[in-house]
Amino acid sequence: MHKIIERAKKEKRSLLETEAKGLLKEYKISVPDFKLIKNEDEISKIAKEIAYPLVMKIVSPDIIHKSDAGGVKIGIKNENEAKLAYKEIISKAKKYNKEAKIFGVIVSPVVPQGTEVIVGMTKDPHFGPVVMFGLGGIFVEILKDVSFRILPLEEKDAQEMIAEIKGYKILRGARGESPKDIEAIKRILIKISQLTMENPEINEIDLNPIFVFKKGIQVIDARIIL
Amino acid sequence: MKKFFNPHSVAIFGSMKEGKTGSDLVRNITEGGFKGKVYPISHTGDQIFGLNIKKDFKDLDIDLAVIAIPSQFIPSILEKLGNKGVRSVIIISAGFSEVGNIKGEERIREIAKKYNMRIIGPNCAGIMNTEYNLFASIEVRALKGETAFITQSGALGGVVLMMAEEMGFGFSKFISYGNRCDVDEADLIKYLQDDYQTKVIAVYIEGLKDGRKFLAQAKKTLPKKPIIVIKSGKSKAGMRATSSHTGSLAGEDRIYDAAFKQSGILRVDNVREMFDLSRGLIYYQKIKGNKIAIVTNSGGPAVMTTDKLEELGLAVPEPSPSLKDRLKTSLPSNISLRNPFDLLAYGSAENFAFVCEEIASEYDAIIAIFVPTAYMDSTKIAKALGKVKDKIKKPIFASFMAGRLVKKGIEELNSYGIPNYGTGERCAKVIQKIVLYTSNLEGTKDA
Repeated sequence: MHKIIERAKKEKRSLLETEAKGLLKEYKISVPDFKLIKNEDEISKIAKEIAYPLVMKIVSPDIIHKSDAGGVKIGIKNENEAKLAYKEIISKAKKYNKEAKIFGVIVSPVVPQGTEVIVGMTKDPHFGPVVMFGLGGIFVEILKDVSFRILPLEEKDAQEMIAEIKGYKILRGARGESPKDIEAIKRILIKISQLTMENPEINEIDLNPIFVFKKGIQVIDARIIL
Repeated sequence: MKKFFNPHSVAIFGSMKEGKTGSDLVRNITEGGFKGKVYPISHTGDQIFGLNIKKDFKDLDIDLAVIAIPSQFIPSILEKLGNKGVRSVIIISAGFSEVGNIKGEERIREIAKKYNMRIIGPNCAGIMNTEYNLFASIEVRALKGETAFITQSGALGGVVLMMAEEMGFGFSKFISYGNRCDVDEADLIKYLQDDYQTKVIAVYIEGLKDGRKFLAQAKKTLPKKPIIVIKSGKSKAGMRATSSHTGSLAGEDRIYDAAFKQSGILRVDNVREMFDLSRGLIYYQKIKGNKIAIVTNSGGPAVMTTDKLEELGLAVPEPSPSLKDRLKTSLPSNISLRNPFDLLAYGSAENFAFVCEEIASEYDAIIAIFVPTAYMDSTKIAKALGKVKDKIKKPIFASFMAGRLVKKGIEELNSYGIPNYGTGERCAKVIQKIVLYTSNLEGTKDA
């Protein structure tokens, strides 16, 4: 069993965002640089590792809807703002859920907006692990424009499930937009298949959103549920 | 499995009073012309359809037992059959998991395991092997054919058989498997894969117990023969507990749909589509590309067919300039030489045949649409198409419409092995699925 998973299992919780992103990195899935800050003093050292402006988010297995808890701050320009943001995130989180176990705050650079997609995994009672792909935002929320495949995934399956969604034209480059890196989406689908098959303790994965660019992708938010 | 379909002797357990299941089973088996031994078994004794009803089966040599007695008496009969070495049992009786009697079903599964016995059912309508004149079922006897039909619902099975009879459509095997306490869809598909009488496997399912087993078997079978599935219960929401976004979007039907697509199983929406596609696949299991030609004597139906083909992702391209020239020299000048090739209302059999033959090299399949005026003879066109079919080696589908005007023509088409459909749109749907089946198989060859 993977060490990250073993520890989380022992503590009877799912993976923290930092752990999930750490695991993704091991599978060569690109995530923006990140660091877990556990106290205010660590903030002065951030600049060495992560470039401003920053995004800061609460890290707690008990807070799933981070924005609702006031646990997300975007566009932090300097150390002072970062310190204020840290304090505010922690105090709001404590107010939102008094029982919540708080591990700290995850700090990442602001990533330029890309086309949002979602990749997920869940376990079906009849077919076992399945992977999902769709365009993010309203496409998934309202139109439910997503496709599924049973794992393990072959390259052909990955290609087909990307082409199957109605929003595929957007990825190919619609209305003057440049085409997006579909090969990179294929790779991430296959990596998620591999990660799931190699770690049977994982029950569900949400990578939402993933930003897709002309070249490359970045997983902005990741949840891995045991 | 072989003893289910080719038994030398069948014992029927059940009430032999007129109108009761046991009596119906004996009647279907004897009237169906089964050549082996038939043993009606009931404590009442007496005679039925000229056979002695046995009170005891101790000394009988039984290959297949068909049971239609109340559920509470079944375990003890199974034990006795097991001890005798009977390995194939069909349980028609209801009263098991479908009414919440999970324990009862568990019990018969255990007995089956103990004796290495296979059970089809319980709560099913039985099985048929038309080639062997075996009709161990309570439903109307199927005609001989090349499609095997597996159904979870016995009642739907009965409906399909009755509809098929009206259409003159036959089956190789019919299996209603009910609660599937032992033999399941995957086992049946595995058996049918090597059954030479079966060209097409059609399945009606409401839900699978073991999706992965089914898919694994389907993947093995599909290179040998196509599998058509009707999966009902589309609206049922996923039953899983989930906290992820992905989980909440993974409705049961979406997963089934993905599974069928991924494995190359051909999903249809209803019974009519199942018949349509089965008929198509019996004649043509390969359509190598998506270029479809329409040869017609009618405007409207051809346009509607074109629309459908394009909607389904198939192409209706114009012929090459050289082909156009070839056609021009031999056809009246007012005929449209684009695709659809419109031979106009009085399009002759010769012209139908000529155009089909000439264009065959540039298209992957042809749809011939013929709409006679009040006094035209549709058999001439049908014969011409039938003769050209052998020459061109490309699939021809027909839509002769409609009613009594084309009845004889359609019979003629059947005799030549050209499937006819009530509308060109239905042809289009069938063609799309066969193209898909063909390209899936090509894909597996490359891999």
